[in-house]
Amino acid sequence: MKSARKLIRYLKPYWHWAVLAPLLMGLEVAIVIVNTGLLMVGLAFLGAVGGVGCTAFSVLASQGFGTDLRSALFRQVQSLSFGNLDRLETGQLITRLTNDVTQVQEVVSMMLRIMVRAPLMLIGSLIMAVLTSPRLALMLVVLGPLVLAALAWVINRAYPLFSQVQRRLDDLNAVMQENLAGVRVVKAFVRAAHEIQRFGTVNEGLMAQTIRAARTVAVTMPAVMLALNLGIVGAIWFGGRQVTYGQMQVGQLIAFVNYLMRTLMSVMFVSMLAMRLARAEASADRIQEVLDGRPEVQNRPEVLEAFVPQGRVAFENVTFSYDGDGHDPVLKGISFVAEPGQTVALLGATGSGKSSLIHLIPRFYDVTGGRVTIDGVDVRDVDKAALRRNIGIALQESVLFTGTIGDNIRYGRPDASDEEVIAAAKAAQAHDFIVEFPDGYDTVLGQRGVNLSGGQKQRIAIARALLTQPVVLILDDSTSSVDVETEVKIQEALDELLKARTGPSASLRTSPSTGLRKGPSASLRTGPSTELRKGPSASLRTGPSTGLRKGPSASLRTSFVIAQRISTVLNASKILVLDDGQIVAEGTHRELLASSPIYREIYESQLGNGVIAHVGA
Amino acid sequence: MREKEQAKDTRGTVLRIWGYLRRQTWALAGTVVLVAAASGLGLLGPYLMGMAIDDYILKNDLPGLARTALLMLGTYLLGSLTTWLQTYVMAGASQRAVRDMRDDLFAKLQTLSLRFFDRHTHGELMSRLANDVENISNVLNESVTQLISSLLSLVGVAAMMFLINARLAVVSLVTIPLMMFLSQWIAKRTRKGFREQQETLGQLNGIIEETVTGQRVVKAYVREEVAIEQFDAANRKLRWASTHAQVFAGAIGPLTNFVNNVGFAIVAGAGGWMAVQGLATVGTIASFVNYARQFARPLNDPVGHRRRGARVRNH
Repeated sequence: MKSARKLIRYLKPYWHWAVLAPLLMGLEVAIVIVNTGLLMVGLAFLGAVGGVGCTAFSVLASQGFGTDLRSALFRQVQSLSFGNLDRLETGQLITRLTNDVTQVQEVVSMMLRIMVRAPLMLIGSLIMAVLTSPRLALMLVVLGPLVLAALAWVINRAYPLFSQVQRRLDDLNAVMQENLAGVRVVKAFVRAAHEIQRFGTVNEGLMAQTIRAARTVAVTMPAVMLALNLGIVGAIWFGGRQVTYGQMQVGQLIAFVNYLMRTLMSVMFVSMLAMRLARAEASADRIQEVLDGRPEVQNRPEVLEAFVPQGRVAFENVTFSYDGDGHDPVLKGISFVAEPGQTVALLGATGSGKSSLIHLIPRFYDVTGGRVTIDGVDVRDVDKAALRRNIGIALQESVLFTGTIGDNIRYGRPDASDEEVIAAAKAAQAHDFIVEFPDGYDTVLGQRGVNLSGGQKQRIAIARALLTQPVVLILDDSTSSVDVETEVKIQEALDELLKARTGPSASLRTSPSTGLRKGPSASLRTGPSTELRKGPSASLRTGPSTGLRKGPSASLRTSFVIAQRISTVLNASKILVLDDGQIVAEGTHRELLASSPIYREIYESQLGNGVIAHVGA
Repeated sequence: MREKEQAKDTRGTVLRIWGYLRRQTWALAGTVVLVAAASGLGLLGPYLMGMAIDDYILKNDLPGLARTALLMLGTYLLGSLTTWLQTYVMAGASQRAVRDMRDDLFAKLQTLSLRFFDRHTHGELMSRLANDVENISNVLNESVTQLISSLLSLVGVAAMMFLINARLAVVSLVTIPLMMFLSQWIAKRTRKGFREQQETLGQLNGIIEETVTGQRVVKAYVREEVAIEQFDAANRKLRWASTHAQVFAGAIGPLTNFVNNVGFAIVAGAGGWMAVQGLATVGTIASFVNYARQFARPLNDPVGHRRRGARVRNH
């Protein structure tokens, strides 16, 4: 019951309601017990008032509790890093925020109602039973402990069984999650039958365990009922004998049976509560697990809070592993520099570490060894939010939110003007299909509205990234569902755009290069970084710029592109070929064609499908 | 990106679930037989008690009392046994039905086009397969047999009462209209509240699913604060909607107790008077007091069923 107890602190703000509820229940019980005589109906009414009051306050208290708990949990989820999220899994987090919180909340509400009612009822009825017939009441000395022992037995067994059920449910979720994540592979290799069989196995396991738990618990009710009824039989037999001997009156016997039933009924309530508590404990554990989690990526005590870099991204001997302790590194000894204005393309097989590499730039994860710097500043020395505001990223799975298309493109910059939104959409080759909808940019997405195809979603995600006018733009395989021709168009538009990063946001960044590091950053600024800032960037800052470009002070954008198709990367300033977490080749298309066998192999394998013809070098 | 529309097609959903349950022919037939047996035995107990008092205790017939006591013992033992067996069998049947449901859903997913997967987030699909099926499983487990046994005992108790003493039965049942009236009065007030609760809960769950599914985008664009604001607004709305609905719904319990207590008083008072007049026996009163309590239980239950049922979403 540890987790449950920990969560109880969320009930504290509502202690006055939580206390009132049982008090009023006490009133009801007191009245029910003395309900003999003429006043009965009146008293019963008073009792009802007490009962209704108890319910009302227990609802108030438990709803407040549930609301606060859910809110704390949601805030915690917002603060977690990608690493935590990977481990907790999306589906499970949703379950915890919805079902688990409801479970715990319902138990709290039940507890507030029964906690006082059952024991009071128990004691009261017990006293009355003893007063009615001390000799018959002796039976309770035997029955009571028997019932309690039986209950303890069931509950002790039930809790581990229910946690087992939960674990099996997690297994099932894991298979499901893998299947969803790899749906394309499953289809490509016609593995559906195998997947169905795999799912069938875990499903069977979950069923078996659930049945085991349910059947164990199934003993409770009949057992308690039996105990209650044994009491009645005992009372009838022993009491009946006393009546025939003239030691007792029939009325007393009936009254005793009545009190006996009330006594055992309240035991039953307690047992029901205990069962629910055992099940809610599993939920409480799962909630507590999330609440206990510490965000893996945290701000250091002293960080740069204002950070407006030029965009020179450097990886210095970077090693990275997902478990953080250096086992199974997914990236090994990565070193390269991306200058402002450059487009760096990453090429490599699935699992070669491309996504892992670019996730280190916005600190979705922190490096295990080495460092990632922007303008010579270690990204870990920058406030997470400040860092991310400089980076626009279109992730692999393009998630859009409920709202209009315009809202979604504005997601990272809600104050952007309509013209800017349109410019971004045009660059992402999304404008044409958007205006084909009757409502254009006001088209509502989601269940009630229009559903977009994968390629359309990806283009909106790219527009969303472009609109933030990022210093560093990252496109993580974000044109995979777009047809080749559109992809080429996007690429051409980006080639133009990537060279310029401007617009209203530039005004926020003060003058382009001199005012860059103000405020708290000054103290952190050290020698080497200033030197690094010189060099190629100045000379490059003259390239063509169209579309989004508006402001007077154009500066350069660094971009990273991950792509499956080689056509996407042909014009990149630098291509990094990754294999098993290492850079195996680096250079421009021409250089690599001459020097790297792996690159040539990829190039030639894709030549066959006529992609290259579109891209005149 | 999902609106939850409860009760829009409840009939269709119930029929579908029934389709899965129907495959468990033997278990289901067994359950019905066991439920009927358990309900019957539950009715027999109080009847025997009345008999024990009237025919044996009051006539000083100890051997007869012993026989009846043993008979009662047997009845109760059998009653508990059948109740246990019924839960045991039903647990298997409902879980097998739920397993089939999951298998079918998963197999169905394998046949869907990539387009479908582009249009639904993983979180949404996960939630359907895990949470929603789980909710159905809970309802099947807890409610189906309870509903059957509640209905059976309701009819059975009324029949037994009339069989034993029609006049006292009529007196006992006078509280039923009062109960009905109170239920109606409250139901009218809770229906709107529950609908509102389900709507706000759907909105909140929608926000949760969407935010958590897109959590990486939220973080990439530093939108955590906005997400929290959005969530808080929906969370607050849900809090007051549920409080409103549940305060009224929760009143049913104590009010039922009130009616029960009144009924208890009426049965005791009228029974006592009738006993004095020779119109009823002491044993009859004892049986009736017992039956009256059984009567109250099924009337209490449907509210719980509705609440549990409302958590199941339609798909």
